[in-house]
Amino acid sequence: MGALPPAAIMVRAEGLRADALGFRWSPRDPFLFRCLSLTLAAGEVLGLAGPSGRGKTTLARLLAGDLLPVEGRITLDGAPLPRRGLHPVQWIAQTPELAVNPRWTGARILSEGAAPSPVLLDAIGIQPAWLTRLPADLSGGELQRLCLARALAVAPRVLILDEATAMLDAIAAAQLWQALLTLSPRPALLVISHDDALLARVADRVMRV
Amino acid sequence: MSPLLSVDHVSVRFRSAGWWRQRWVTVLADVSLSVARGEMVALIGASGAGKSVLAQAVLGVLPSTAAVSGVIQFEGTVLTPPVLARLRGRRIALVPQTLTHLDPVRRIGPQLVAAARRGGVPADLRVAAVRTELARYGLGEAVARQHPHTLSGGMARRALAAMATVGQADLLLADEATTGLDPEATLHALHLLRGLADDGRGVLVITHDLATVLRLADRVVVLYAGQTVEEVAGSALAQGAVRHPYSHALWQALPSQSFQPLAGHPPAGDGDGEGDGCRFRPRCAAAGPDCATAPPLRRVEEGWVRCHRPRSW
Repeated sequence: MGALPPAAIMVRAEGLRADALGFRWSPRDPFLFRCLSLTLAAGEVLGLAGPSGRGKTTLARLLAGDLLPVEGRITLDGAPLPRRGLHPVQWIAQTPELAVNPRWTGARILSEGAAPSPVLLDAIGIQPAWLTRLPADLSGGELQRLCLARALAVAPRVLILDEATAMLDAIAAAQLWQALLTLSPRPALLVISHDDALLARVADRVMRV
Repeated sequence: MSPLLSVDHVSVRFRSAGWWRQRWVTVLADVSLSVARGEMVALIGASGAGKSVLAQAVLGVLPSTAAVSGVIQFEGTVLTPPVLARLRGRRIALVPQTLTHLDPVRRIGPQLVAAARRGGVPADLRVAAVRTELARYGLGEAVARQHPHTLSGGMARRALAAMATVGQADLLLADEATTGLDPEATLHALHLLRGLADDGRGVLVITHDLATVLRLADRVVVLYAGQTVEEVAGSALAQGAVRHPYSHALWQALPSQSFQPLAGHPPAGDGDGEGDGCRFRPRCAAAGPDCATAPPLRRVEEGWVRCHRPRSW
C-alpha cells in the first residue's frame, strides 16, 4: 500500500458517485430531475425515499447503465461505468415479471449471468421446486428472489433494490434482509423504499428526493 | 341473506406436465371465507400460499390444468363458467397484481372507457365517469392520453385500480393492488376501497402488507400453505392479538415490530415431506405430539383458528 500515491487510495475508497445528474425522456420533455448528486461508499447501505413519480426508479436505471444521463456523470471508483459486459451495478426492479424471459425455467433464469452458489440460493430461500417452473407458475415473491440471486451471482459492487421486498410477506422480507445484510462480501446497497420503518431498520443513512 | 361472496372448503390442485407420471400440486388445500356487502376483508399470507390462485378461482380464470373442489357462491348462486362469463368485469371486478394487465399499445383513456362500458356505465356518461375516476386516484387528465410505459409504477397501478372501480361492480377483488405505491398513495387507494365497501359493495383485498391494511379491514383471513389458519378482526391483528402462531410470527416480522424472521420456509406444496399433521408444525415453537394430527378450523370467540395449541394473551 505504501507504494501507492495518496490520491489513488482516496479514489479507491470512493465507491459509486453521481455528480449533478439530470434526466429527461426527450428534449421536448421537462427534466425529471436535475443537479442530483449522491455517493455510495463500498459496503454502505443508502436509503432513498420520496413520493412516486419523482424519478427514483429512473435514477436506479441510470446508475445501473440501463439509461444514459442527459446531464452529469456517474463514476465507480473514479472511472466511468463500463458500457458492455456484466455491469458492476445491478438493479432489482419492482416488477420481477417483466425482468425475466417468460419461456425460461427458474434454473435458466438464475444462471443467465453466472451460476449462483448453493450457499447463496439457500440464504435467499430459493427452493429446488422453483427451478423447474416457468415464471407464470411462480408467485411475485418467488420470482423476485430468483432475480435477486441472479443479480448477486455476478458479484456486483453495488446492488440497487427498488422496492425489492414490497411483494414479499413480512417473514420472507425479514429473512431476505437478514440474508442480504449478513452476506460476505456484500455489495453496497441502494435501497429505494416507501417504508420508513424498513429504511430505519436497514439503511445507514436516508436520502429524500 | 346470503353473503356477496362465499368460499366453502375450496381446494385447487394443478396437474403438472409430464408424460410418464402425472403429479398433482396442491396449491389450496382448504380455504373458507366470506365477504358480505359493506365489508372489507383482507386475505394475507406468504407468497406462494395461494392467495392469487384463490382470486383466479373466484373469477374462473384458472388454467386448464387446475382442478377445483369445494363451492364458490356469489349471492347464493354457484359460480359456474356460464354464470361467471356474465358476471366477470360487470359485477365482479379485479384490481390485478401485475402491470402487464394494461394494454401496452393503447392509451390509458380508451382502456378506461372500455372498462366502464363492460362495467355497465351508460354510453353518454362513460367519459365523465373516467375523468372522475382518474381524479379520485390523483391522476391528472393528461394521464388519459399517455401510454402505459410512460407512467411510473405507482401511476400505472392507480390507473389499473381506476379501471376496476370505474364500473358498477358489486364485488371487488384487489390482488396486491398497492405494491410499490408510496404510503400516502397506498392509504389513499385503500381508503377508496374502504369507501366503496361503505357504499354497500364487497371488497376482498389480497395482500401481504399488514401494516396498512389492518386499520381498514373489518376482518383478516390468514392463509398458510393453502389453508385458512385464522380469521380475526383487523383491529385485533393490528395489535398482535392473534391465536395462531403463524399469524403472530407474521406480525412480529414487521419492521415496526421486532423485524425478526421466523426460520424456515412454507412447504412447496408438491406433497414431499408433508405428513398428515398440522402444516405449520415444522416451523412452530409451540408444536407438540398432538400436532401430528391435522387440526380442524375451530370457532373461537372472535373468529376462527386452525390450531391445537392456540396462543392466549
